[in-house]
Amino acid sequence: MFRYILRRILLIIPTFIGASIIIFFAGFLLPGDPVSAFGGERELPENLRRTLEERYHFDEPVWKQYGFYMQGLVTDFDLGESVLRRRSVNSIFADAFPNTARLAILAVAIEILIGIVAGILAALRKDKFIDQLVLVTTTLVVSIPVFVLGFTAQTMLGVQLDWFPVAGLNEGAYSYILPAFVLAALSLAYIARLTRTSLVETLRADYIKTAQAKGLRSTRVVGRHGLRNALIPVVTFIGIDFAFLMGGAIVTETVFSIPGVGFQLVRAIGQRDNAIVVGFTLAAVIIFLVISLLIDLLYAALDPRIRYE
Amino acid sequence: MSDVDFRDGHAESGDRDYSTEHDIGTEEAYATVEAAVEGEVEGLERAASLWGDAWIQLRRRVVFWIAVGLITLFTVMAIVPQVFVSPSPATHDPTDCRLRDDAGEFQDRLRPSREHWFGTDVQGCDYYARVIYGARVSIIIGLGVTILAGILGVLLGGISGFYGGAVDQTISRFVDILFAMPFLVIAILFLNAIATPGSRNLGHVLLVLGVFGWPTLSRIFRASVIQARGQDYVEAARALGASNGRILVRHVVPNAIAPTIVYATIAIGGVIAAEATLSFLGVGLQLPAISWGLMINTAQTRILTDPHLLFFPGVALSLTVLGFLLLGDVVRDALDPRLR
Repeated sequence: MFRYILRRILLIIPTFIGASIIIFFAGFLLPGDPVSAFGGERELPENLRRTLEERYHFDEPVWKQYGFYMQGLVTDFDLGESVLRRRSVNSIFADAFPNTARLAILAVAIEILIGIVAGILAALRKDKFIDQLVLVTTTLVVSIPVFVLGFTAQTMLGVQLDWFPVAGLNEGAYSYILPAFVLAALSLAYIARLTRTSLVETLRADYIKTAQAKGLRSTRVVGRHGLRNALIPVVTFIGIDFAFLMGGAIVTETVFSIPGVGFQLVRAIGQRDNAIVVGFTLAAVIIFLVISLLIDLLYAALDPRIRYE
Repeated sequence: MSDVDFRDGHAESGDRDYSTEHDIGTEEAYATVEAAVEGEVEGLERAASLWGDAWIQLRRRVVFWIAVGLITLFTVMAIVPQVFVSPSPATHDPTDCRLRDDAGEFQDRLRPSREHWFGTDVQGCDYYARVIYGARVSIIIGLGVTILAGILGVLLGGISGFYGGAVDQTISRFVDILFAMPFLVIAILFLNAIATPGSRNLGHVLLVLGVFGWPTLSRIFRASVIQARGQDYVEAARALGASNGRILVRHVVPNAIAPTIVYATIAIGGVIAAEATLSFLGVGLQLPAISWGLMINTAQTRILTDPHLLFFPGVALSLTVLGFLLLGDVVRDALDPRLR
């Protein structure tokens, strides 16, 4: 177990270094000069320009800038500073992240609840009406791009029926419900299908026949013997999905004007605020790596087969 | 199986005139026999191949023909949009837009009518003509990106799975890196890095989506290659002196490619949705390009009052994605003997 944990943690390091190089250099290529942006419409005086360049290391070659940046990130968890907004990227992220996190947690809860139940029902009634219904519905949901689904939900449920707030976060927890459903829709459909396929396959296994032969009630056969094994791939999928969602939901946050990580990222791209773009993207990668690490470790603790691979 | 390998072994010595069927795994062979017993295969005489069996399955499925119908419809629309707009009473030119007509009446955001089948947009353009002409971008991006990502994925995944060792480690770590970065964010980042908004075109979008779209395809192909590599027929071919290249091309790839093709088909739909999403966010194609995502972006602030601006491009987009999704789904079912 210890060797597995060590190996898994060490694997993160090259992944993170690789991703950070790609992101930092892409950010460096982005158009826009942060020093000029600091002055807005006015031309900056030469001495101020030089001071700013030295302070943020803009006069150094790109690989040195990367070095300074990583040093700050590793020692102080410093994601940089937005010259444009005159704020640290950390504090902008700290404001945006809770909105993204609440949205992600609610979305994953919806995915688990509806997706898994729909998948189980479809598997137990394979080829019957409910199975067909789940298959058709999930196929349709997957084919509608998220922004189209978002706008449709917003127009129909928000404006015309007036059941939910149209946009923003003014109505507290209630504001998150519609966006969370839209954000959950795609993964919910995958989870339903994955649960169905996995459970159908598991129920054919010999140990299920044994359990049935022993005379166990069918709820116990499905619950204790079937689901336990069938849900392994489903839980893996949910874990990865959650790790991605915590990094920001660009489309959903944009459509519903939720000031989360994704929303701020799109805004920063428009404003050419490269510090935010690079910082937020790196933060999303870190969150993804850490959460998927935790899930893998949890997994190894629960399922001994994984440790010995 | 063994006689197929035997013939292959001889073909190595210069005689290449054999039309060899692909080797089939025992599972498929078993399923074929099983199907034949149930009277599902006409004539066992015909050597059953994986794809031949799949075709027999496929052509009986209604869903398959729906998928083929949708894909054909939008592909023809992409090639000759003129045919589709010709019966429309309004202008046949999607760029012929007028805010007012000759009598001075406003022509923007008209609701669907006998003249403008899909209404008009905020610029007074005929929406039907624009939706029809929008298919081209989606189909080019969908096929182009998937071909590019497919070539990269099969090449890198194949090398990784077949050779293993340090090469595999290097490629797999690189896949990990790409996988850890949110796809949409990276696409946005690089689209902005390689081209200014004004100069951004179809080529840039195609390149960025293709270059970052291969990791999943590569992972799937790598796994199938590792599985195929260990089969007896590969050992047999090796024993007969076949070179690595030959084993890859004649034995491993034909037996390992099916899941990758299925995923790639579904991915075409995903890519089309991704382009529309980027254009919708304002970081993909720019006006005057005609793209369904861009149409929805332009209409964004009017959608709540003029829902037809969302409805028509949204339905066209979803149906195109649906076509490829359904095709991938039924092909997977047909190829997977366990589901028969």
